[in-house]
Amino acid sequence: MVNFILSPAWFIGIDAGFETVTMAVAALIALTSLKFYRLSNMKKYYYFGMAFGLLATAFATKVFTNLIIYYNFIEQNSFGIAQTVHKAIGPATNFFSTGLLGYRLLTLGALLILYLLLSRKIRTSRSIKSLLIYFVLIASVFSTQVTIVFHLTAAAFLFFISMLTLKKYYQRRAKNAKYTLAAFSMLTISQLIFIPGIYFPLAYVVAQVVQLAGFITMLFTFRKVKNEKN
Amino acid sequence: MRRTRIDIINDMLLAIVNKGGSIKPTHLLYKSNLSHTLMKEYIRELISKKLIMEQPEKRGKSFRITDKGRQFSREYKKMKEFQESFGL
Repeated sequence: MVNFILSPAWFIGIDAGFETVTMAVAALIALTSLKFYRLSNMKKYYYFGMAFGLLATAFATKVFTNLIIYYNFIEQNSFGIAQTVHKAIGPATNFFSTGLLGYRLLTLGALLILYLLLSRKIRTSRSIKSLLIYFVLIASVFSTQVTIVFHLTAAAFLFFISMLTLKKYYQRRAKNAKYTLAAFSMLTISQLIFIPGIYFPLAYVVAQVVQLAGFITMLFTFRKVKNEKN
Repeated sequence: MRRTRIDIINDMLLAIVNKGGSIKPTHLLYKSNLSHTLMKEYIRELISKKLIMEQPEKRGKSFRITDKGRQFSREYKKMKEFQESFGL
């Protein structure tokens, strides 16, 4: 039987709450970036908005999938009806696998766009972009069988994004860039902690907390930007 | 420090705002601190992005800032800070 629930019983629902917050932060950043694109017609705002829009959609998918599975889990445990459990397993597996695939594909797609944008390679050749998209697809599909693949791939993307952010911080010394660097670094670490989280529920909890902290830091950066006056 | 594209666009829009919303090409050339060729390139971009519009006059033409251009100018600092903070 596929183990759907990595979360310890006491954390069930709380992780969905955390991910709802991260979804909201990603959506806020996406909408602001797209607003700046509408004003300036500068493609970088569009790509940045699209990347965070994909992230927001990814987390929305994960929250929805998890809540459905958690609800079934709680129902099954509350009523303990063997027949209901037996009937629920087939469709639940398909539903969970589809939701998980959607979440992973959208997340890796978002990280790919962010990496290409920040490394100034968004206008790179179509063949290279096609290869990278193929890589993201393969990693997403394969990760439904081997979960570690997703977290390693996401960690790799986030590591390179963090390095690019560090480089830009040293080049431009923008006062808020250090918070963005901290945010991406935390997200990189959270993906690495999710790996032992597959086997140890406490690690899963820590990974969720670190991931949330990363997005809260990004929200902090966003607030500082919004408070800038002309 | 070298001006970025967004800095130059804002400087040009501010020059138009400071002239009461409308400016002659020669005044804009002087205020924007650009070469004639570069200024023409930016004006084409500003018109295509609907941040300014060309206004024919009795003698020559002038450029008028649009509502979108005014909004750009208001949001400029936030856009720039967003750009710098997220490394765009």
